[in-house]
Amino acid sequence: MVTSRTSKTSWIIATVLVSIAVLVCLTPLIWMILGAFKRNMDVIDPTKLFSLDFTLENMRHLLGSKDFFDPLWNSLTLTGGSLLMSLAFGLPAAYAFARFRMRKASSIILVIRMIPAMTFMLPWFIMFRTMGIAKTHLGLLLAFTVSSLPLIIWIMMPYFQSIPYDITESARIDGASEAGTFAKIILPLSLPGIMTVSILTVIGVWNNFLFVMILGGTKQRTLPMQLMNYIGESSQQWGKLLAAATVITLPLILIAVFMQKYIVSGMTSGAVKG
Amino acid sequence: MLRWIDKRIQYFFAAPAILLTLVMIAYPLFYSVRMSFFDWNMSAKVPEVWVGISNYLGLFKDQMFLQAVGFTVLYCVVAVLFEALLGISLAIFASKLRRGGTLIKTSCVLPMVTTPIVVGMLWKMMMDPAIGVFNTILGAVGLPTSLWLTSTATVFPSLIMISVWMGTPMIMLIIMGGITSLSNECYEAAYVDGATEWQVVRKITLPLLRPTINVALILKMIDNLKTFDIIYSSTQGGPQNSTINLNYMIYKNLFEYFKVGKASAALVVFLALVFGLTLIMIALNKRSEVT
Repeated sequence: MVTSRTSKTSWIIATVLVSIAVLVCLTPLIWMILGAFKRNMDVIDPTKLFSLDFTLENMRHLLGSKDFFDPLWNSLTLTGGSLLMSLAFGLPAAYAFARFRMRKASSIILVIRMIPAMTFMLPWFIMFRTMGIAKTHLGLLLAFTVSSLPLIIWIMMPYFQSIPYDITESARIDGASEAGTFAKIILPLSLPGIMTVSILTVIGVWNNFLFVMILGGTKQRTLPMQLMNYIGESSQQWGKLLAAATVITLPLILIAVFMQKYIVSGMTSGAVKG
Repeated sequence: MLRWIDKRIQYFFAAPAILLTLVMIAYPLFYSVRMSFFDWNMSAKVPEVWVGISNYLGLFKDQMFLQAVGFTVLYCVVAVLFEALLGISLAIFASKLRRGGTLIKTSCVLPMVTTPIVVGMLWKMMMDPAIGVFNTILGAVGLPTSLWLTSTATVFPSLIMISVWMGTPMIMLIIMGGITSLSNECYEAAYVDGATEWQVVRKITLPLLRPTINVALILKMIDNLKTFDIIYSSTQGGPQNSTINLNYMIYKNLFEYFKVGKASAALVVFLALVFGLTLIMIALNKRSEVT
């Protein structure tokens, strides 16, 4: 063990510094959640920074209003839909690239990941208008799918490559088709990788703001978009804003707490392979 | 028929994704480059007019563009520098702790996954000069308060703080992953030879981590160059346009001023900047590997 050589002093320094870092990471989010359950006056009252006169007023107000519920529904459906579409396009492609050694694919994907999303906004806007899918869910789904594909292929390619060739070979000797082998043998073996890319895709779509602002209409408003509207309309009602922010962040907190290892492995695999 | 398809399954698997990429990525890239040589105000009635390279020439006389380039580069360099210093040292310290790994990793993941729009809003509230938590605490302990995001003098370091909060954890996690993957043998040898902890970090851990650090820096650099959401939700480019980066400037020219030609030219420069800086980082990386 590397750690067995740690001296007492450096252990103390490490504990103090890392604890501070952990606190710094958590404090803004704790402040947000506390604020969401405070009365509006208490949020901005410095003497009540940590006191909690618990109220559900903000939440009840927020969740009861239609102008919050529609964006919540849009966020959920767009995220779910984009996830299914991204996997449907991305997994077979990643498998084809991995299995049939299309080596150039990975460098092209790296280049695509570097392109700022702003590049696509006007062309997509015009394309969608021509195709008649401007300001529709379908247009946004397409945009999210395209933007998720590079990451899915990037992470899944080495994953598929790491599956021993013997396994697919023996399946084929038993008379299974290529497509059947992929669906019945490869995919189940790759579940952890699929979890990782699914989680990263969900986070990316849930957090997206730019695409929705430019390509979506009033009927496609998602939660981050609606939060920006609230900031514009009622910038003084911190209780309401923090309640909305808490609802947006809650699924992400759950993902971070319960599926942390998938996020970490997704990032590290991208980094080590790069 | 089915067997014919199955024998060529790789093409059927790859084709939809490739087609989607060609239509939705290659064509828009071509479109943006093409539009940078035209003048167009996005109106369907007035067609675009070929203007040669005058959009590019105009950019270099444009104060907003030059300021945006400067801000983008400075913001990226300073943010990456702080994120790297903090991320690498925290990862090394964290590797010395035997317990708390899950807590540390979860706490790191949280700022990374939190919606950027929410992050910008939260920090703007906490940094509010009148009623924000930061000034309240500073005032309570007798320190001078700050105008944070609302003054041109303090907005830059304030934005960097937000970026560091969001960006450091990713570097820290990647480096922590790198440290776990290092083999213990060279450490044992060093300790047997009587090396101090600091020497081990400097002479063994850091050099071995070099490739991992480089990748983390490149990824973070690209992120910081492309920053949009946190600026949109915290300063909206203000005060006095002092926090408009290239991405934001292009957005404004496209969707607020409808200057497609100028925005497209700026986009091409932006792309060149991202690719150029990344290639330089990769080249430096390769050279350090050779020596």
